Amino acid sequence: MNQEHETAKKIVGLLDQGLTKLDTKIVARLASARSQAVTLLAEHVQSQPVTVGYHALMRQAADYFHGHRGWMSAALVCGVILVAFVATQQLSGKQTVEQGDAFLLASELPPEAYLDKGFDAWLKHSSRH
Amino acid sequence: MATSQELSDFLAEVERRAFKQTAYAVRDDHVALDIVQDAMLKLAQSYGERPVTEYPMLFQRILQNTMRDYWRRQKVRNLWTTLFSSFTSNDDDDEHDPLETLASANQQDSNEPLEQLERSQTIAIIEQALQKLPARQREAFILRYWEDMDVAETAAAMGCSQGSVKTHCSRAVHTLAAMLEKQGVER
Repeated sequence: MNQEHETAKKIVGLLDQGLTKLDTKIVARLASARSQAVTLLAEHVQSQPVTVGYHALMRQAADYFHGHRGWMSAALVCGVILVAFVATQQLSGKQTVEQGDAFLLASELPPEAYLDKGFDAWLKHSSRH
Repeated sequence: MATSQELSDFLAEVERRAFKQTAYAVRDDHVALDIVQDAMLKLAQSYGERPVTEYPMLFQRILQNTMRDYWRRQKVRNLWTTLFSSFTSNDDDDEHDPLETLASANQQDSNEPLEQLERSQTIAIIEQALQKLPARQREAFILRYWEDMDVAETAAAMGCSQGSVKTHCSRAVHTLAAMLEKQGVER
């Protein structure tokens, strides 16, 4: 294994030496390609600043959430409990109002009034007038 | 996100190796230059916003894929020319025995014209041997030893298992060593 590694390193050493003797036209063409790539990156960044900003923001948010998973989970559970409590309160409040209305409507006349024959006669008499 | 300067520095560092690596595979300097240029532009356009630390892996993946695209197109376009070119040989069967050249490979500052010539010949022999390697072995050897990636990174760049990388590298080194010995170059 070591022998293999040493042989590989020797070969690579020679290959590295060969890199310094590249034709000047090839070197110039590589430099030109590099320059184009750098220009393209600059144009790409300028043309999509909003997208990049959005991605960066989302990445930051994701990183933050990942770093504070425990706290974030606890906060999420608390939020769900709070929403459930408020919803329950809203529903039960509605029921109370309905019950109150029903009570008021039903209690317009006390039940004794319907059992009193005199009252029934008085009601008929007064409705004629 | 990497800056333009970081991208420029990265490309300046890898461009010559990338060119040579591609030239070994496609055996045509002009095509190799086109492929390297394509890879550079794709890196800047599609992955420019990634951190500079991710560039080596990304660039290698892009370069490999661009080479594969070239081969696919080439196969469809002219299968016979490709086959024929693989049989052409440029071996320099001269009298020179570069045994000592590899042994003194680290003496880079030598100004002796004869030594420089010998070294150039040794490099040429190595480059020819590399060209003759099977594509996956050459790829593994270059990524692992020339690009100095570890086994896991090489496996990720090549899209294969770490075991395959080790096998490819081992076979490549043995084949190269055997070829060099055959050419009279001592390991």
